Amino acid sequence: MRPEVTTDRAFIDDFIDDYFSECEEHLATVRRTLLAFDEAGERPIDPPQLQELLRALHTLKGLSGMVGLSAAEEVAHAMEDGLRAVPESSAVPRNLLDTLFAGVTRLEEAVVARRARINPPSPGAFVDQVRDVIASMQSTTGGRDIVHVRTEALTRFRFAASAALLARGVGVEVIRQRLASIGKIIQTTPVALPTGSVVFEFTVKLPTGVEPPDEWRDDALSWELAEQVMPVGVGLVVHSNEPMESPRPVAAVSSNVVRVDLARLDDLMRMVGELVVSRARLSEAVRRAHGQLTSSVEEDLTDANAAIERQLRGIREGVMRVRLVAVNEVFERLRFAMRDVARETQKSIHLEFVGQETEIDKLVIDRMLEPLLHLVRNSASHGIESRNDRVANGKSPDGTIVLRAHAAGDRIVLQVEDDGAGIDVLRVEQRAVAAGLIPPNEALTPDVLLDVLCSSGFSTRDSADMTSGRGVGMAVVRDTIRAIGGTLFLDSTLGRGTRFTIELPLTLMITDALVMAIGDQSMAIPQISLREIVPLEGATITRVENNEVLTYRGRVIPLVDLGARFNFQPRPGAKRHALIVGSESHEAGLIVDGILGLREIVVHPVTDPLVAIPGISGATELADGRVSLVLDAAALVRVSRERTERTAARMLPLSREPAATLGWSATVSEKLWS
Amino acid sequence: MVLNAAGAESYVLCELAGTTYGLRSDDIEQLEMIGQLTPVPNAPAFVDGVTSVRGRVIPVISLRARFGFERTDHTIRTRLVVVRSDGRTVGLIVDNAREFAAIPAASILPLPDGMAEMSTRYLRGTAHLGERLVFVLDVPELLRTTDAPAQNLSRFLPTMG
Repeated sequence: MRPEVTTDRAFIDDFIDDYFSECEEHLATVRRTLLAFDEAGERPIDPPQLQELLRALHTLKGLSGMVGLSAAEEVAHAMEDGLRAVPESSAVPRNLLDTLFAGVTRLEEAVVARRARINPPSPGAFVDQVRDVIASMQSTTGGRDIVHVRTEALTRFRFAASAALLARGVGVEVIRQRLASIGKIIQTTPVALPTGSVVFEFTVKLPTGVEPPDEWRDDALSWELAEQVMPVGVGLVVHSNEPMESPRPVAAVSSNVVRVDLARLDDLMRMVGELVVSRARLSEAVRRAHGQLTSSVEEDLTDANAAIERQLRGIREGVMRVRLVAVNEVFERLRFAMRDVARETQKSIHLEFVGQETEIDKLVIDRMLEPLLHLVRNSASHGIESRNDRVANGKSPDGTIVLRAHAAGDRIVLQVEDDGAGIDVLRVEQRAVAAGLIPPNEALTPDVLLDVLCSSGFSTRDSADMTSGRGVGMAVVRDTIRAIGGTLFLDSTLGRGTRFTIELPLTLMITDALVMAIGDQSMAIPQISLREIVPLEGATITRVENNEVLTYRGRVIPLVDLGARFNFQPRPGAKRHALIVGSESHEAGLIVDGILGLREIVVHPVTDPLVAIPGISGATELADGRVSLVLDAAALVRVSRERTERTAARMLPLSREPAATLGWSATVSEKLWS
Repeated sequence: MVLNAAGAESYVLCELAGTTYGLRSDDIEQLEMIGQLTPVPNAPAFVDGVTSVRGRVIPVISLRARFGFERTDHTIRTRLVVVRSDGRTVGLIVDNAREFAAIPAASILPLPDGMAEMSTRYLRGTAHLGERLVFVLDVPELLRTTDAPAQNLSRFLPTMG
């Protein structure tokens, strides 16, 4: 029913995917090197770093040209021109550096536009800006002229090295000397061919009228005008113009890294998921066939089934590993963004990373860039105080923001922590009351603080500032985190700092889960979130107000009756159990009507707004083909906690003293209650 | 877009309580027999639950319930129309879906005045196919306007004293 897709289109789309992933890499290099220049301040440029930056820009330019994205091509070209105008052994002038930073933003915009298939913003103004900066540099420092190597007539030589030639004494070095004797070698690039052999490409500027002798062709050397040469080889090899003394190692070109479109991995993951379901069916059939087959056939079937299970586990772990990338990728982008923020806010802020090598699903971490960016900006503009204020409060004049990542079971925890002013709860409360978000004369409990901060339209700043916008951000932050099954937490201590914690699923999950009956339905809960299973027959259950609590091994555990919560038909003759979930300090017992067994399940996220219900993290297909919902233990514990705390709050009203030390973990309660 | 030579778009015709609705083929991913549905607690009333379609779990809307008709038992003609819009994939249960038709954009007429209320934003208009009247559905709008308001945890809780 979809329109036919032509092969051409598919071809370009394939190519475009490579382009996007390559761009990402080279942009990362550009950001990193620019930051290094920024930190170097007045010190002269480090030549290898400059070469790296120029190479990345040049490659971006070439790639963008190939996909017809001229906006990016021109911006990268202008950035190159700007850098080449910097005199040797001097620092990158401040105005040029600022322009280059702006250039990165232009490049990002152009790539994003191409992705969205819309017209990119015109690069004209940026190109003019670079020209002005170069002019100012040349008038003040007499910087070198810009050399447009690309526009000159160049000849590209191609030499196919082989053992036979080497035996005759014709190796790369010989060819290089030969070429150097007739012209100037601008560049040497080894290119890996799909056949596995290697071709060296030399870009040579020949004096007018000089022609290479024809007999060179006998030594597997060929040549043509450079502008007509198309890149060959595996992947996108792009020729850069900067002079290089010796050939780059082949490994730099034909690396062992294969780029894979995330969508293909998703397909693979989905297929593995289907396999898991099929195997479960097979298992079920083998079990049912028990006694109806000869024992040797049955044994074979059981063995084969067990082998498949083991192998599937291997495949599944392999696919999951492929999807993981280090968090560092995103942290580095935040460092880049921080530079602008620090300048806009006129503050000096150190950004520290902890656990940046932690690996997380590519899709998950990509979605986290915007929320993290927002939280870091928030910390910089609202959290960290001005230098004067900090000194007056006995703090170091420079603020610190720490970005942390670590794995915790099947979750990844990301934190953004600042040593700033902390959140002034009384002030938030006043504004929340004024905005009608909470009723007057009601204490702003820790639970509600994050809700207030995340309500759209709430801002404690009297004037919205450029950096953090107008208080719609936190709502988006929380929605984005929720959409991929994550949770946001807040800790803040007045005068000491604020910490946002994001808990995320490690990846799309296949997991071992307990399948249980709740009313007339079956549901699953990941085994990893279970602490204990307690039969309720003969157990001590006490009612406190509307809540039931279980007394078990000296602990008092609040109970959540899932069947009643979900309005399922009660199951007659149910063997009720409590599944103990949560952490030691905050646990809850989920009452279920029966345990059906432990299964390996594929968890499909359920994110559509129609069915995104708190307490349910996803769905899974069981062996009978029926979909079962997967419980989100963490969310259910929160429900139980909030209830308990509200009950407690009514009995024991919270102190409304100015909160000197408010150390708590305010949880995401789903809505302001009024 | 699937256009025929005359510039008409392709539609799938579905029936619902004796009325014919047209859904743009471009919005439709596939037509399926109705499989097992799993109810989702506390979802909006017109959501019949979730189901698995070719390895994905999608929400299912009863269009009868959505349009205010009574739900009926599923028959061998009942179909799940899997539609896609704004990155979401949702199943719509219809009484049957057996025909395709090419409807030129120019022949889609605006709704009669009395019907042009808020509740009918998801109707693009009507078209005549011979003697039959077809209500042309705007699928993206239908999905937008069926978004439930954010669910909240308090629905899980007994009323707090």
